[in-house]
This record gives sequence, structure tokens and C-alpha cells, in this order.
Amino acid sequence: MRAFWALYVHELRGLWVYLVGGALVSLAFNLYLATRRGVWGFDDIAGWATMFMALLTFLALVLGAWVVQREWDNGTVYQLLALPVGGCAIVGAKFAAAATLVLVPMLMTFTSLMGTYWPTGVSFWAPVHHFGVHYEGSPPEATFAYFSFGAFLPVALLYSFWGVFLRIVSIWVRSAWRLFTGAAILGIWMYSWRLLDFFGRSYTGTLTVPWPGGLLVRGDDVTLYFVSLPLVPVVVALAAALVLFWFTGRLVERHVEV
Amino acid sequence: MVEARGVGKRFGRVWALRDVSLTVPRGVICGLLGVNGAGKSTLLRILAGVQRPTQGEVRIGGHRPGRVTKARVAFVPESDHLYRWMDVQDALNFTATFFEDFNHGRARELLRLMQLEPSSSISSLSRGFRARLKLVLALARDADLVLLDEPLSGIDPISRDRIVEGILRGYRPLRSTVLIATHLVGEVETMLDRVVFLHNGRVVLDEGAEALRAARGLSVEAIYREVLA
Repeated sequence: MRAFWALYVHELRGLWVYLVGGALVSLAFNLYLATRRGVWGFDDIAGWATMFMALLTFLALVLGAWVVQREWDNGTVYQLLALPVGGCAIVGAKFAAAATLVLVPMLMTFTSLMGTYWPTGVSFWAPVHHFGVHYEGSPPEATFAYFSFGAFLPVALLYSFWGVFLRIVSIWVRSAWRLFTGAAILGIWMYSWRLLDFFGRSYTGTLTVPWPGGLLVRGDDVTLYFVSLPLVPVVVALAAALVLFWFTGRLVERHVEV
Repeated sequence: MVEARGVGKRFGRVWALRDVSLTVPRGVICGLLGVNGAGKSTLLRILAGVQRPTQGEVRIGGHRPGRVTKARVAFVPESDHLYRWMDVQDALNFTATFFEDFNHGRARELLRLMQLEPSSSISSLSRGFRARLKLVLALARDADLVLLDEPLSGIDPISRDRIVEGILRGYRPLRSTVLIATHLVGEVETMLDRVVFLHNGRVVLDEGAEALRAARGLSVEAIYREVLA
């Protein structure tokens, strides 16, 4: 764990220009959106914010691959692979750094959107509301429902990891890396739409966990809504992610070479 | 300290190393000498654990290259592996974070010897000074094995003298094993206890430097030219 944190801090220090740059772009974008309040409708503002967050999730895929690739491009991979640390620490630090680059502007956008509409009735009792409706997710009387931080967060995390994973596997595979990476990116994009659909559904009669799904609009009232995720697929997905993570760590430790 | 048995490394259809067997005891400064493409760097990378042999086996202090050996091996690759966004002090701190054998006192001495300022940005250092820093990071550790890949290549004569002095001052007393891969034989000859000539991925000569000079009545550099011409 110590090695992971040391590498994570090291990664962030190396990426600080991009981290601060991303935060500033997000700040400027959100300040602009905030000034549009009263000029544009909520759906316009939330729509732009949602699109921004959706773009950030795709950026996560690129950034995940890039934080690995730059080690090879800069020749610093020698230093990285010669460190007496486990492959999982290296992969974890890369993944966490790429995710941080995306999550910071994403979180800023979400907070800004909530902050902009808070005075007009964003309900911070939404979790209670969620439990009150027995995990049934989005109520039918809603005018609009926007996926937001809650839905994009796991997608961004998944993409960050996928970017790191693909790049490492493609370095390992070497000769077939372009074909492999192209096919995998196409696959994950197709899968992502299924994933968003998964977050938007309501589940009844199964064991579920509450998850912040997005923003709901009922007339002038904007509410953070929670969706119900069925427990079994979530646990299976987390277990699969851990196995994949361990596998990637082993790849770095045993098979990836300069 | 270092044991290689029948080591081979293939890249695609090309064998960079073929059937290399080598034993280097503790405290020896050994020169891996050969022309470009002889397989010197590949052998060092395998010993450092950043590449894996296609065939054969390597042991460092009885262990296969891995996390345990990496903690005891200081590897300086030929390529510029320093993070450009760091300053000199950052680079020292980064190395010290991961290697328990990092000796801060020796690092300060070596910085003075190499005329490096801790606050200097790595991106502003010339190639010669970056080579000096790479060496400081390796020699400041109490590593059992130091692997130096072309430490003098492309470096001006003054920097070369500093680097050679650094190796001699930094490591002779500690009885660490040092493997230096180079084709600049004349520059390192004075500090070598043993020489291994590599040609087309194979060991063509492996002897003590002094015994070799006495037997042939020539300098190692002259013998190198004779053997590998």
C-alpha cells in the first residue's frame, strides 16, 4: 500500500499541469453555465453539464492509455520497472492518476450544477426519498432525468482502468496491439451504452443497492435521484474488476518488459 | 553474486544473446565489453529484471530477478530515464522512497563531487549532467549489485573523469559488484578487475583484467581491438 501511495503521489506530481489545467477548464465552463441560469432553462444547462461529463468519461479511456504510454515515450519506464514494487502498485497508481484527472473536473461540474440550482429546490433528502419509494428509481412524473456524476463516476473509473489495461496488454502483445486496442475500444464503447442503461433502470423485487443516478426535474424542482442497482451483478462486476486488476499487475510484474 | 547459465534472449527472429554463462563474485568491477549490438545492454536489462531471458537462468545473490533482487540492484540504463518534471532533490527523494538502502549522506557527497545542485531542474541539465545525476542515484545506494549501461557514452571528457572517480570513490570500499557495459574500453580500463568480451550475443573472452594484460603484454583496449576486430 505504501508503494501504491508513493507511486500515486509521484504520478500526480508528474501530471499536475494537466490536473490543474483540467480543473481550470472545468471551472471556466461551469462558471459560464452558472451565469446562464435564468437565461437558459434547467434542461439546457444540465444537458451541457451532462455532455461535458460524458466527454470526460471518454477522455478517461485515452488518459488511462496515455499515462502508461508516456513512460515508454519518455524512457522513464526503465526507472519504473526497476523499482522493487509489485505490478498491482504500478497499475493501481496509473489507474488512480488517470481517474483523478477525470474525476476532479467531473466532480466540479456536478457540484456546480447542484450549487446553481440548490436555492430553487434541490432536495438533499433524496436518499430518504429513494428508500421511501423502495428503490424504484426515477418516478414517472419527472419531466427530465439526467445522468450525472453518480452514473458517470463508475463509467469513468471503468474507462480509466480499461485504458491502462489495454495499453499494458497491447505492449505485452506487441505485434497485434493496434488491432487488439481498436477492437477493445469499440467493444467497450458498445458496452458503455449497456452500462448507462443499467444505471437508468428500476429494479423491484430483487436485492438492490442505492446509487446516485442523476438529476430529476419536476417542474421547477430539481432533485438528485437514486437508482436501485441489483446487488448480484454489482458484486460480480466488482469481483471481475479485482481479478482483472490482479491479472494486469501480474502482467506488469512477469511479462511486460522494456 | 551474479550467476547466468545458458542465457539467451530473442527479439522476433533475432537472437540478441546466445548461451551466455557468467559468474561474477561479490566485490568485483567487471567490464562487459563489446561493439554495438553485442548484447551488453540486453544482458544488463535481464540482470536488472526489466527484461526476461528467452532461455537459460539468471540468479542475483541466489534469487531470480524480481522484487527481491530489484531492491538490491542499482540499474543505470543507457537511455535517459529521469523524469524531466523533477528537480535533482526530487529525483533523490523518489529513489530514497523506494530503496531502503539509499544513503543520503553519500548522495550529498556525490552531488558535490559531480557538481550538481539539488535545486536544479532536470529538464535544464545538459546531457553530461543528467548522466552524472543518473550515476549519483545509483551510487548513493548501498546496493549489492550496480549495473551501468554505457555510463560514459556521449559524455564530455571532464564529465567522464568525474563519473569514473565517482564509481571508484563510491563503490570500491563497499565491496559491491559493479558491471559496466561499454565500448569505451580505454576510459574504464583502470578500474576493471575483470573483463568479459561479448560478440554477436556470445561470450568470447572472460578473464581477470590483470591476468589478461600480463598474459598478452597489451592493454585491455588493445586486446579488445585485436579480439573483436
